[in-house]
Amino acid sequence: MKKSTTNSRILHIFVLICLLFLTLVFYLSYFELHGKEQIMGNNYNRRLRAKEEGIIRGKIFDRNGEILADTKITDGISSRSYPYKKLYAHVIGYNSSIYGKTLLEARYNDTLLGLNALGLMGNVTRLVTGEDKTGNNIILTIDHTLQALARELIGEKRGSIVAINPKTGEILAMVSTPDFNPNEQSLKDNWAALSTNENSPLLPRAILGLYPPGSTFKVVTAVAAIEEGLTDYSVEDSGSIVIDGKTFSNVGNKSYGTLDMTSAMAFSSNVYFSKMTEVLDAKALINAAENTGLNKNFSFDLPLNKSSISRDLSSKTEYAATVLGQGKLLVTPLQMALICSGIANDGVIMKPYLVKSISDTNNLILSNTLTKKLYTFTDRETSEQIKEMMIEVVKSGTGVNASLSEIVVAGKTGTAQNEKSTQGGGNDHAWFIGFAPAADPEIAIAVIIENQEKDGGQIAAPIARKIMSTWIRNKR
Amino acid sequence: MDKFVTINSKNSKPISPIHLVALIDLALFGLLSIRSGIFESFILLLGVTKAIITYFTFYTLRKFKMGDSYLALIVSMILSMGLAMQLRLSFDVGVKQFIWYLIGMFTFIVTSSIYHSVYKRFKSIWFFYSLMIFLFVLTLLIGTRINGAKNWIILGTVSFQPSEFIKILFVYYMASFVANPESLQIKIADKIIPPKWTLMVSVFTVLGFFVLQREFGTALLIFMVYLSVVYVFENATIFVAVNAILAGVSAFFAIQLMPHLGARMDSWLNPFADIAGKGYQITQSLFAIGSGSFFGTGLGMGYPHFIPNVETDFIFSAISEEMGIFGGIAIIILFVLLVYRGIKICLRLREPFTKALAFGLTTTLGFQTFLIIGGVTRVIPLTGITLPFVSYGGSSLISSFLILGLLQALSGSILREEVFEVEKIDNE
Repeated sequence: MKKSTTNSRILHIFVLICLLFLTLVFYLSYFELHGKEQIMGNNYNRRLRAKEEGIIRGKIFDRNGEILADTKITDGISSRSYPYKKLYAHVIGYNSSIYGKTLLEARYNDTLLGLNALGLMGNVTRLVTGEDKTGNNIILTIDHTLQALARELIGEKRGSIVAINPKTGEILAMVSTPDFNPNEQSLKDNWAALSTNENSPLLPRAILGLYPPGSTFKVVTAVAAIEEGLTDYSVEDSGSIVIDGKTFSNVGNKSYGTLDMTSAMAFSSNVYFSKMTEVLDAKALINAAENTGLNKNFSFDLPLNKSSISRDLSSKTEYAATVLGQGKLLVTPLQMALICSGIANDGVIMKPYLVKSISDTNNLILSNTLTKKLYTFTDRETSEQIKEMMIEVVKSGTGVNASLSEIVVAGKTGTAQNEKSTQGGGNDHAWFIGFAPAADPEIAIAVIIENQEKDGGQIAAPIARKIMSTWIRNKR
Repeated sequence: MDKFVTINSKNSKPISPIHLVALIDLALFGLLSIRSGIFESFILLLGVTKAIITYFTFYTLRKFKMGDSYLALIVSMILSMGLAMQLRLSFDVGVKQFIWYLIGMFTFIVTSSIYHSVYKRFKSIWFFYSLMIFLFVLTLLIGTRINGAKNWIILGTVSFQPSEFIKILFVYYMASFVANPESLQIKIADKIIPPKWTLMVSVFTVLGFFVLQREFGTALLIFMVYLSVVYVFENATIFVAVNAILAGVSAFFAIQLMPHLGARMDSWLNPFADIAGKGYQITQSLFAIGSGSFFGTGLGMGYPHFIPNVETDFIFSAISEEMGIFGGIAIIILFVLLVYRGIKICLRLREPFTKALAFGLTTTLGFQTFLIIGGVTRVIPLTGITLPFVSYGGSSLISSFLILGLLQALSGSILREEVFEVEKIDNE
């Protein structure tokens, strides 16, 4: 009897040892599948750099073959060079042996080094001949002319411009300022200043900057209203309105008399839209906003901050503020460009992308990015109605500075209060979103200029107008 | 289905795994011999030598009915991966390790052959205990501190790690206790103190010596072996719990009092906080395992040299980097098989001493493997201890082969004991 219990206890210990080993096996599998994600990019992982030795990093081109990033080899030491310096700092990022990699240089690292399946194919002959291996090139959707123009127009001001082809989702220009020179030597010289500057020059505002959208958000409000059957809603606008003890007034307290939705949009009447909260279900607004991608993540070529709207709009004053694009609501400039492109493209938002194709060292195209539908914002009829309203904004309303001769432009201005402006430390942000030509849109754009004395119609609309006209005229 | 089985069983004999081991040897060493671009026949020769030794051992054990012939085969497979990895890391170290392997095999064969003629002479429990204490004192007096732990004795050109052998003595000590617990019975003022409490005091003294030498890994290892043996052979669950709590409390205070131990805990809990300092080793190990992914970078294609002490404590990370975690899991499975064979032996042994000895040796191998693999993968805190048969080092390899030789001999005793039982019954 005693012997058998000794043997069963021996088996207990055997089971224990097996369980310990099983834990190791499970942990190793978990680590490879999930656990390592966070740590592998750490700067102390010397493998990241070791892998690059003996590989010539691929080039980055704009859509027309302009070289935006190149690898220069001097005395056997290779270094990354960015001929347009700061122009693409917030698109391509940098590739530095000291400060690591960011943006496209980070996301497409394996492609640029030819370390993935596509890269192996191109290097078969080099494995035999012993030449330096080469990575693959990436070709962007960005148009260098347009990018340079956008950067020139924004000048020394802080802000962001995102231009998209609404039919395909190709990003044509993406500018964030302030910016910096991403070349290694310049990074070394200026790093301390760059990383401590209170204007955050290292922040790619177009994708990571979160702003209140201001009146540009009325486009989403209008979509929600039309979908809820409030197309013919009209309001007697006396310049201001009191909701739950809080006064909402138009810019400059102007009164516009009887307003329908089109004229309310054209004049950007705060009274009209805040009055609308009495009849418009908050859920409809949240729903419309989420249909454009707020509160959602999607995969993009660059890191992206999630734009968001509060799901709880039970407070009447908060709801009224949210309808006007203030309140519990934050968006990235890219998000506003997407909303705008959704209206331009019959209610469908196409998936935005920056990398058009990948080519090998002999410029042979290896793969192309396919265009994909991302979200259905609204139906075709609603988007047509909103489009008409946005045309009116540019024709006779707050957005006249965006109008072009011969080309019909649709748009919406915005002037967004922000932390600085409400506390008296600065001015409001100036917004403009728009697309052209209205009948068959080729470009949709979002412009934000931070803390401006003048409003969106005066400062952001002219920038958008020049970019849109340049793109359309160059294409023709 | 049935058809398949019948065809298979009638027309073809299952292939013995020994050919598989030989094939892997030739493949691995063959690959290493052409790695630099020039054919290095010497490396291939090592592989052939190893395959021949494997065949020789396997068939000798069978021919002379020396017990379980699979023990050595499993270890040979572990060694294939270990030796190949050492040779890949550094030719010089790899060749030295190969020489240690030859000496180890010699030790193994001698131990398993002469065990039965000598084992009865060494059964005195105090002999083992005093030998352990002697080695401790010797280490403290003339020992050298390497990597923080004072656990090396260097005599001229020969250096060895006494703790690798103390752990075997400890198993002997435990087995002697199981066979003859009264030997530890002490009378104080007419009161008989139960032998297991004496045992406890003596074991904690040994643990104290290990802590003094900063050999936390081996301390933890023998403590686990001690608890397992007491649990199995004394059937004393409460006693085990008391020991575990006592050890836990003393470990807690040790961590508070000894900065060296506290640093190890920090680097386990949050290695990235001090990645350039305390956390450097373990994070480099994680980077290696992560970059290997499931299938590995391929032998010679990774960067295992980025990990400090890669050829000793962190050899498992190097294997995981270049052979993938499938390679790492293969090592784990091989050790599970080894423990399984060991447990099988000890289940069939009847005499308490041999049974406890086989059990202690098997658990030593099992727990030691878990402690180091768990350590380098950050499942448990890292304790400097070697991976049996794989880590570089003469002491480690010889002591592992010694354990293997003893297990081999014990597996031979099964038959002897059974014959003995039969004789006894006949005599009655």
